[in-house]
Amino acid sequence: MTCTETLPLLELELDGELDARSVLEVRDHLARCAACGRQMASLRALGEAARAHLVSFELPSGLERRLPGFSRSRRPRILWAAGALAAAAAVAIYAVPRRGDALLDEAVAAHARSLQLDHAIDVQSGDQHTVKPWFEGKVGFAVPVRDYAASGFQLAGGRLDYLDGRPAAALVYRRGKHLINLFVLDARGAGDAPARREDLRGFACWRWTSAGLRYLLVGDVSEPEMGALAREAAGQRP
Amino acid sequence: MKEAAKVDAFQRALGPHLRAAWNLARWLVRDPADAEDVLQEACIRAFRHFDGFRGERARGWLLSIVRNACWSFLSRRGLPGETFDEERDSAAVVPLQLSPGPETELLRIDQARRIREEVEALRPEFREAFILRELEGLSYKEIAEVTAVPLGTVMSRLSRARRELQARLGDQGRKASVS
Repeated sequence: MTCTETLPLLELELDGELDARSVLEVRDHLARCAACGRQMASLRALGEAARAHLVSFELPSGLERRLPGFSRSRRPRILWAAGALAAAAAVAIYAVPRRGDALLDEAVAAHARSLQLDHAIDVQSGDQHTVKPWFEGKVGFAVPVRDYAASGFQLAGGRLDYLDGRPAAALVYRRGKHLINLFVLDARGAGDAPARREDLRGFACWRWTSAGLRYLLVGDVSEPEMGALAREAAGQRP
Repeated sequence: MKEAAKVDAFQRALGPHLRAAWNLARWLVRDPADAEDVLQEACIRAFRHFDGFRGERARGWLLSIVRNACWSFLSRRGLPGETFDEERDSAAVVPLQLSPGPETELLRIDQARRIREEVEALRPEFREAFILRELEGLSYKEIAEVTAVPLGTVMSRLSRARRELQARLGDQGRKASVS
């Protein structure tokens, strides 16, 4: 083997990518040729220096929890990571006519997200005594969880979501193929308010405030079923 | 796939390779905050396409998604001159290997800095090949898959990277490893 033939193969030999026969030929040449030997030594030194001195960046602590799909709670942050864009876009496109509607907007965006990404549920259970304790320590208030199966709305589970920049409980109900989100968040001192309907972007939306908690019900179930559910959940007479 | 099962499988398959993904993102986009954005974007993509993933070569699969996210970030930003913040990067990193001995400490730090600066100065496609090979230990075939280029291109990029580093570092590379 000549130097011209050998030189291009040095790196392959170094990287362990050379077939057995060529390895022998290259080594044979290196044993006889000082110039190629020096080039090989230089290449080897470069690799060793790189591995010795280049840093391998360690995953910063806490980063994993911020990565979609890797959150410790097993809830893919994809929900709000992807949703942050949707929410931002929604806020940008739909000018907010009144104060307070930004929240409704967020709730609708969160609802739409839960449909699109098929990540509606963190804790899957039709049992309110399973869903309620799941939220403990996650949202900062006790989440009233009730089943409305008798009215045709089956509790499917719960999900931790974010509205108004803070954790919110999302209770998920099913009615046939429809999925309904009932968002619950701290009312921050707002007084009780009866359920009222405020549809947004084709979604049926109901909101009310009760006992220090704000509720937003979002779904694509038509009236009068949605209203009946809202009034039942709000503890009002139908 | 059911949600919980999917998250489970996702974390099992890709969790072990997050460090490599982060390392690649840091070397390619440099800024830690940008790298985090890129990695988040990559994870969203990975999660979305995870159903189509068959469980083989998880590392290569994740790295190719991360690397694509890095490149689209770099092209969005228009590949400006990259800056290197010595203090910030020194604080955030863990050297791969420390040779003991206070007498060589200053020399070692200087060599480490020079090598890092020169690798930084490589064109991103050369740097990418070099990092994947030398730091992550990927084979040519794996690098070809991750970077979506033919094997021959991998070899020539690696070769170019090494030639440039040899030329710029002069004898430094050799001394560094021998010391």
